[in-house]
Amino acid sequence: MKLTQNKILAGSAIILSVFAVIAGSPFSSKKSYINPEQFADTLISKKQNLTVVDLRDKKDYNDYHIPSAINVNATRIDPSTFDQKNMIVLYSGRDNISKTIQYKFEKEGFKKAYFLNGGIDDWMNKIIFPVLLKNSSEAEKKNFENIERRSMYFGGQPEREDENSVKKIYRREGC
Amino acid sequence: MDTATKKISFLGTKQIGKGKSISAPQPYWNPYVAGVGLGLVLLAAFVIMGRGLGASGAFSTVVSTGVNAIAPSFGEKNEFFSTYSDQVSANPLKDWYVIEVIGILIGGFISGFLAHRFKKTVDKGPNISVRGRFTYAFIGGAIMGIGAKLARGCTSGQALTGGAQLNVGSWLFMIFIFIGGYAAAYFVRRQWI
Amino acid sequence: MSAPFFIHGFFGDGTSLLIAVIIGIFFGFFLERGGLGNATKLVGQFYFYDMTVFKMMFTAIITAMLGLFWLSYFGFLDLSLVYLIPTYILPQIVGGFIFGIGFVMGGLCPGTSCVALTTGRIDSFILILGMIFGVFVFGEAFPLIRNFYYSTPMGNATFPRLLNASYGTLVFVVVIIAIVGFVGVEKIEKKFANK
Repeated sequence: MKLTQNKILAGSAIILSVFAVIAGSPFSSKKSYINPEQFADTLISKKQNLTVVDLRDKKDYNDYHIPSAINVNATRIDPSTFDQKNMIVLYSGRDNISKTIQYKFEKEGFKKAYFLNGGIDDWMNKIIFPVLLKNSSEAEKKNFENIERRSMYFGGQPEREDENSVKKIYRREGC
Repeated sequence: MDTATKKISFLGTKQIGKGKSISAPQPYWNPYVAGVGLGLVLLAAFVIMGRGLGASGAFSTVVSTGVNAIAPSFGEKNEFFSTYSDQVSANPLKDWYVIEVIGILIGGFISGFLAHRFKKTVDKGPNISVRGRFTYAFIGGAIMGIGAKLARGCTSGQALTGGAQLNVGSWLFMIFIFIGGYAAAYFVRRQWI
Repeated sequence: MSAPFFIHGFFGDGTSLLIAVIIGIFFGFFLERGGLGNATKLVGQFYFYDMTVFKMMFTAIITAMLGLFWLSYFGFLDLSLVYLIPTYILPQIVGGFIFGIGFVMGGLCPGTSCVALTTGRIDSFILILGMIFGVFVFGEAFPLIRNFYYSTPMGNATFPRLLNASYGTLVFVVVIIAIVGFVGVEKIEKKFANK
């Protein structure tokens, strides 16, 4: 009995995986987010028909917001007040809220609505205050000049890590 | 055997002799079937929460919460412990794993209870004392704690979760767990065989 | 693409904690059903008399892996929204090796130690104390090993991306490796039982 049970399990796994080979990729081509680097470059290129929405509270918005962003609180946002033809980038503190709102837009038929991956957190860490770690590779060091330039465009402070570096936030990853 | 009926019921009760019943521990499930069950639970976590399972994370939270509760100034100075008192947490679901571990405790108990496998005992090999087992358990646990933190996860969080996602780091972690285990097995064999 | 449900806002933080318990209960349940709440059974893996760890782990992995693939392919799950632990090659290799040593010493891992605890095993209690101590030591030593901890980052690295290979093909490869492993492991167990 046990042997047949195992053979059924093994057989099912093999069949499913053979079909997976045929299927190729499980991803659909449509992405629902934009990365901070990509977004920063899009802003610099002054792309037309781009709407940026800050989903946080007014206080957070006034403290700092991404240039050209409008403030519409997540609890009050209504997709029907936006133009579906525009590219819309939604962001929040991280991306838990913006993911939800982006999905709302997607359901209403918006094909160009994206959430900012990592939100203000990653925007700060990657665009405004990028850090070049001490043990970076040569290629990373060379590329950092571009990152520095982009950071200063937005009024940021890039940093190259050395003995006197400001203490960085330990980011807890994993489980 | 005598003439009394020997009946192995669902709850693992054997009737031997008239009126006498001993609750015998049930045999374990087919490991492949249990593995499929585990895999479905993992899949459910992915589908419902967008994250996999985890266990070592809960221990980290417990330690950090403990440190910050008992000696807050000490915790603040240390970058590792202070993150847990941060408003902006890199992982907003850190408490999720603590609650999940509570679930693991309950689930293990339910299964063990139903299968009559609950037993106040010490699992060890025949050639070592209980104290020896405790020593190994503590040291082994400490080593695992360090290894899990270095790798950002344990067998549940990295190996299972990352394994299913074809995550490079997770597979490397898992392979080296086996390498490390087999490498050390000879030296601690006295505890088990 | 409705899943992952939490990320799409189907429910809030409170419900997610309720879900945490439920998922945890099933997790612990299946671990115990397979026998992984017993240290002597777990270490059988490393002494070849009981290969349940390998069987359960890899069955779980290929089950979830196939599930992720197909649920994503049919548009039910947005796989790109599922959290992927970033890869740090060196710390994860070293961490794995260290973890393996501790694993065969302790006989239980963090998840299974909880199952062992609530089925009455006193050794798991000591092991859990050890793990808490280990995490604390790590936290203390963190400033010293910080650079190592963040070394060799590769970001979100999956094998399809790394090898520039078809995801589906890699799924197939993993399934075949697992099944070949299962067949081999059954033989090892039989061989040991006959000794």
